[in-house]
Amino acid sequence: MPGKGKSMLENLDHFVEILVLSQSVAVKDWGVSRVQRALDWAAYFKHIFLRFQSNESVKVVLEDRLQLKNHQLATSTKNYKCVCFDHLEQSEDILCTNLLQNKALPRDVFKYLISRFNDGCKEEEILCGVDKIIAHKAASHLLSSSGSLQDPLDNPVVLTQAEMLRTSVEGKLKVFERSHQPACVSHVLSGIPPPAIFYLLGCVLITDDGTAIVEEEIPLPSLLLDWLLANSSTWSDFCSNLSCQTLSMLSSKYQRVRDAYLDFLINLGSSMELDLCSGTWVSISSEMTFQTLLDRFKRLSEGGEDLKEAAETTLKRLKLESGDFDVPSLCVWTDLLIGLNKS
Amino acid sequence: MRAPGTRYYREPTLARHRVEVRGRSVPCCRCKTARRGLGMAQVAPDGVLSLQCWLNKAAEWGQKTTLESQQDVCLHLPQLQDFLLQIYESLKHMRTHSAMERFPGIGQLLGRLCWNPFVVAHEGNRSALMSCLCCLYNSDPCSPLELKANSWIQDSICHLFTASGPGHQEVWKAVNQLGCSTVDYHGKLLKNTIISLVSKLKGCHSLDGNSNNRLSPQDVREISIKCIPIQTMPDVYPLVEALLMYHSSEPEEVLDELFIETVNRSVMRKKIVLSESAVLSLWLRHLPSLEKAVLDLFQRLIAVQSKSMSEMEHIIKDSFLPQASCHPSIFMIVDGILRKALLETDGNLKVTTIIRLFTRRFIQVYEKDNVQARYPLRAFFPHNSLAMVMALLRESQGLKPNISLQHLHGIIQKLREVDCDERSHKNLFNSWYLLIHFGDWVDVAAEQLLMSKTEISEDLLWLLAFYYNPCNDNQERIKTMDAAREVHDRMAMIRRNAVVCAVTLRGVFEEKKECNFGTTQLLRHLLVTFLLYSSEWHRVARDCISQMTQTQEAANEVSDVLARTVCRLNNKGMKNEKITKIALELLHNL
Repeated sequence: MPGKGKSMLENLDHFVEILVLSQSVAVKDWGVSRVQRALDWAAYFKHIFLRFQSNESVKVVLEDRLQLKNHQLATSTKNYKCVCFDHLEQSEDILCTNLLQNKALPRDVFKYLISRFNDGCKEEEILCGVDKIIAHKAASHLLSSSGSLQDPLDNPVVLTQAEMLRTSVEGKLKVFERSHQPACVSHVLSGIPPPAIFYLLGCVLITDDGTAIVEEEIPLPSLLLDWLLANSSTWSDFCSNLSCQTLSMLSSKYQRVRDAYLDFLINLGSSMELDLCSGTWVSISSEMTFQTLLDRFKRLSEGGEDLKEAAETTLKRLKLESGDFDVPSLCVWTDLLIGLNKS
Repeated sequence: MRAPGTRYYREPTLARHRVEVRGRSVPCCRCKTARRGLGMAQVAPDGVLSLQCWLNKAAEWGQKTTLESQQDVCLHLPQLQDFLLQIYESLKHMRTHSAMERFPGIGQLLGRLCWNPFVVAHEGNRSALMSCLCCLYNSDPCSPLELKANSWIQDSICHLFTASGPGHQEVWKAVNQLGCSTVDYHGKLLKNTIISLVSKLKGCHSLDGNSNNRLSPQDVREISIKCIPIQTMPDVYPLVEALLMYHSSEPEEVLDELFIETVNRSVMRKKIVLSESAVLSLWLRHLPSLEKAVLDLFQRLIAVQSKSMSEMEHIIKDSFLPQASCHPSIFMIVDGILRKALLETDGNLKVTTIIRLFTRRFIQVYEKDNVQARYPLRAFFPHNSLAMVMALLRESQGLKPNISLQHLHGIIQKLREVDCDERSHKNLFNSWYLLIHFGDWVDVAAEQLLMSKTEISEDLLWLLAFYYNPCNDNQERIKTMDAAREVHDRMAMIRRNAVVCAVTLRGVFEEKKECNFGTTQLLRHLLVTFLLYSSEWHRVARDCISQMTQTQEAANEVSDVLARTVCRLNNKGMKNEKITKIALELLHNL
């Protein structure tokens, strides 16, 4: 990209650096005029976004340049937040919110920024964005309800964060070589405390529409499942935290989830012993009751013909292996099969 | 055919409204100084007192999360905004420490308000709150108090836009771990929240087939209250629409009344863009809102100063009421209010024009409507014979003169039947009121009367007399007809002479000065029509009109005849340029 284009790419590099600096103590030396200049650059890159958002060839060049810069800054900056082409649309908001949150910001600059809340929208539209963020936050706070976390699709908070998790992971994957991708995914996912991470992953996996970022790349769900299935306790926590409906949906979508979920249920079943006093099956290693286990099998079977067949075939095989009793209360698999066929 | 929601109908409660629709005024019982319209001078002496009132309120709102408490916040938002703006005016000229002395507790109040999503979500209050915080922030703090205030203000403002929220703390923490920009987080969250609520309101199950999340009427009511401060945010429009279209099995209204009133006000002020069906649903489920919308339209039309009718036509079109009137229940209410206005103003000319223009627009929309889906005409005009309605409904423009005349005779015959056979005040009034809706035919009759070379038509004279003097007994009507006939004959004779002057024409009118009000109106109508349609008179028309319009009343009447002629000729592309031109010229000079 000769001439103008080249200088634009150099400016883009500088602007990304400004965004990093705006979160650092370096802002202590910034004056109002410098902040104004930075805001002018932000406005310029917002304009660049609007101008080239539908121009694939320019977009790719800018995106590549950003990746290069991200890669460079990610290695040198702690908690670096990757900047992608789409972020340029909000470059003013990102800059403003970074500055407002920065305790090192000189007071006169802070006062300058907040005084824009009142007249900025009409004149320069600088803090219109921040005002909008405040309005959005208050409105979503007002309308938020205590939706269930186990059914992530029913919870807008989980749904939104899952979208962000996806964007975040996809953004990071672009920066890393294929061989480093699993480590990168693991780094991001381990950073989010359980059980939140399970709700988010459940949501990302359910809503994935199968469009890979780039061909030849490993699809995102595959990387996420690698992480989930790498450790049996992670997987069993995942299964214990999500509702049977969600797991049934995931099982019908991913063969690997189906197999692993059936394994999880079989493990539970194997851990059950008949309590002779009450005549019920009780797990020796888990809180889960026989009824809950049966419900999970039922819900799984309702997920489609192939799921139903897989569940029944597995249970029949296990029943056969444990003596093929048809009388109830002798074998947990027999009882599960009876329960399943009742409905 | 009954639309959902019609069961909420109550009898029209026009008496409760004055034509002047006044804004809701709910004074805060204790915060006397917070009332609207309070001058700045009054803030100083008892500003402290009212601050304490608001502080109590804010504390109360923060502690309770009941529906009543939420309603209370919404009810007080306009007053709180006024109060904050008054405080802001004082703070503008003060340093923080003197502000703290003058308004002890101001920091506490602003802090509490920053944590109240109803207040922050409301655009006016958010802006006022920010202004106050900005004033209290010092670029050069010179005391520990000011330093502390600065730090507190920065924290408060950051709290307003950073990612944190109620419930599920572990999930909120995750946002900050995600390592990418969070500026669009709240926008996305709001969008997803609204999608989820809308699908629940529409009765859809969630994607994972969980049907336990149906909304109860109580939930819907709560959502409607929460929408009050945010209903003008474009992101929230889909939710407002879904609420307005929501119908529960409960016989009582589930939506909060203040919500409905606020949305209606925004619809009237064009502060919100909703689908036509949502607005229709709003007016069907809440009669007072419909009444307010009609009165608001009426007031704006009355206030129009322009002599041309296009501004009025535009206001009518823009009000969405003609479209909504395609539902007969709405039409009946609108028509009822207009009828009442006509009666109370003794057949005021402007009201007559409003009815005529409104009906014209309504008929345009009605005829454009899908024939299969629309209600039958009988549902809109139940007090009149269908044959008469159909006859008046016919477009008068574009018909050949002889066809037009023939059609007019048909209309007149039907009207005279009512007049002769079924003479009762009610029937007569209903026929006359119907004619008012389709007054174009009266103008056509006046034109026909003057254009025809043959002998003067008694029928046409009768129609004009009936239109201008509906309640006359026969004797009176005959007198009016005689006066009209006489003027007509005089003018026809003058027209036959080669030279005409304004004085002669004025003479014709002067002789009839003693006539009653309706007759005078009729004669003016005839004279103006004569001037317009006799091209050889155009050169004296200006003089003649200026002589005729010495009083405001006469000027209004003449202006109305001219404007409606222009308006009618411009419609349907049936342009008669010569007449339109002279009419516009005369109108301009009035």
